[in-house]
Formats: sequence, C-alpha cells, structure tokens
Amino acid sequence: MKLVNKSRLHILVFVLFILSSMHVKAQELYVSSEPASIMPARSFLIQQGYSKMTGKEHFDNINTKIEFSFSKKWMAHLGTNYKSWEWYTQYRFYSKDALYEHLRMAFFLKSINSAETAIYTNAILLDGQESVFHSGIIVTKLKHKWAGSLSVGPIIKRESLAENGAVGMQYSFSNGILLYPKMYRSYGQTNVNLYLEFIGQRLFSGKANYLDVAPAIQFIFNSQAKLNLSYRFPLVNNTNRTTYNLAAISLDYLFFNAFPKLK
Amino acid sequence: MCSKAIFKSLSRLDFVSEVKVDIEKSSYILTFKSRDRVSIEEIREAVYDTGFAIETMQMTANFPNTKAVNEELVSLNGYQFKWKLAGVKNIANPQKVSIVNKEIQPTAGVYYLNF
Repeated sequence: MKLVNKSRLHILVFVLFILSSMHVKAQELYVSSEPASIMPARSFLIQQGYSKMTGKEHFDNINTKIEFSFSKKWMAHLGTNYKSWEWYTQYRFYSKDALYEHLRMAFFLKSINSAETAIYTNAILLDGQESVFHSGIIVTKLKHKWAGSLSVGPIIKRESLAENGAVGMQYSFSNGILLYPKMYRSYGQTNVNLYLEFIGQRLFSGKANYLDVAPAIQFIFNSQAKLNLSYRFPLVNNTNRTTYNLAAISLDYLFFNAFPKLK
Repeated sequence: MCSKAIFKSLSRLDFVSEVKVDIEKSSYILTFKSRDRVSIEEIREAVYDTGFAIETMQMTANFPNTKAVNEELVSLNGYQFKWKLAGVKNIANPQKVSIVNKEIQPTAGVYYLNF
C-alpha cells in the first residue's frame, strides 16, 4: 500500500484573478456642487481656479482648494479666494453599489469665513462675500452614463438684517452625462462630461428666493487631471443680489494613496 | 478616475506581477509572481480600502481532484475551500472558479467556490 502525503498533492496555482468592482464614474464629478462621496480613500486633490462674478457689480476671484479623503466615508476640503476661506466636511452614511449604478447618501457641514459682510443682501451668499454656515444631506444616484444628485439643507447668514432673517433653505439638483469616450479602453483617454446644475435658495422669512442654473463642461485627462468650465446665471431671481452671474474655469489634480491607512 | 485608483492599489501588492484592466467592464486580471505567495485577503483589502467593492472574484487554479462534490473541503495554498454546487461536477485542469462568500469574507475560515 502506498501512503500518500495529501498536503503535498494539493499544489495550487492561481493563474488569474478576475475582479469586477463597483466604482464611481466620472459623470458625477459635478462642477458647481458636491456629490455624495466620490473621492477614493486616502486621496488628495488640489484645485486652482479663476472666476468672474458679474451683475450690478463685478469681482474677479482666484480660487484655491485642497480636498482630502481620510477614509472611504469621510472627506474634507479647505478653500480660499484670498478674501475669505472655507472648510467643508462630508460623511457618507449610505451606499448601495451595483455594476452600472449606485446610490450614495452623505451628510455635510460647511463654514465660509469672510472679513466682509453682505448685511443688506436679502439672500445668503456662498461665494465668500459673507460668513455662512451650511449643512445638509446629499443623495447621488448613478445609472449607466447619467448621474443625478440632490442636496438640501439649512443655511445661516452670520450677520443679517432682522427684517430679512438669517436662515434659509439651500438646495441643488445636478445632472451629469458622460459624452466621451463611448468605450473606455485606457486611462489615457480623455473623458468629456456635460453638466446641468440647478442651485436654489429660499429664506425662511419668505423675503427672498432664487433659482440659478449652471451648465458646465468638463475634460478629464489621464484619469487624474480635470479642466472645468461653467457659467451660472439666474432663472428666477427674487433677491437684491448685486452679483448673480458666475463664469468659472478651474484645473485640478488627484493624487492617489496620499495618506497611510488609519489603523 | 476611481478605476485608476483601484488599478494602482492592486499594482502595489508585492505578489502581483501585472494588472490588466478592462475599464468598461470594471474588471481587473491579476497575474502573480509566484504560485507560493498569493493572498486573497490582501487583494480584497486593496479594493475595499480604496473605498470600493468587489462584485465577483474568480480564480483559475489546478485542483488535485477531478470531481467537485458539494460541501467537500479542499486545501490549497494554505487556504480552506469548500464547494458550493448543486450535486457533483467534473473539474477541468485548470478550472476557473468563483469565490461566492459575501464581500469576499471567509465564513469560519472557509472560502466557498462554485463554477
């Protein structure tokens, strides 16, 4: 009788592993709003932009922003236009992934800190002209080549006139579609996305409200660099905002594995 | 952008010699440097740590037996596998199998396979 050592017989060769993974697609990288949870964990992004605000007055701004994700659920960013600065943080509390679609929900907090005030404006300005607190919920849905996102939450103007009130509701509805490429073959292919975003506000006092629209086009190079071009203007403007059009251009770059894993 | 994040995370594994990606299908084919060093856990963590999930993990392996029987234990490369099949199937050489454990987490130290 021949005895066989069973453990020596079982030699495994893993030749190939094929993984299909669910992941974010580019058409939810909105230009004028934040989607729920889109940065890879431990990544870092730097953005440099230029914007021109026009209306009854006009201002030019240089905008610098850095974004970092600590983990897959938690990200933060810091931004400045060199007249004001802001911090923002977001925590993803829900995620349901499938191969060509997903649904994500996140909670966010934002603080804009400005040396200026816009006490006589009967809208709450998020462009650095005054200090503001903003929080809310974001729900982002991606399906095939389209991604939609809804954001809603309270917004507080830190210095206001009693008659206008300090608090309102801020909301946005964003749509993105992937135009190009038709078939992804390599990371080197340029990606083109088109966006149509709606941004609205209503003061709880009822004294003012607006609904702006911001179409945008975005180019993604080598799956890491982005060029964003947008123009925002009002559809409904029941406010005395002195600047209400915004033309913006920005360039950003994403670094992967920028931070060690938090144990 | 995030497909590239996963690609870079998998490429950094020390036992992986090559990662081929099909961006459209979200699939990544890993080739290993040596048959002796392969870690399912490290592959899993490379994807989940980046913030994404694995839908399917398949592997092509040489199994010692020619038949797969449901719930039969197979030891390979230090791993414990059990078949999750309806009845008995003939095993090809090599054979492509899928790990069916939810989120590629072992159940009592065992990975379940089917094909």
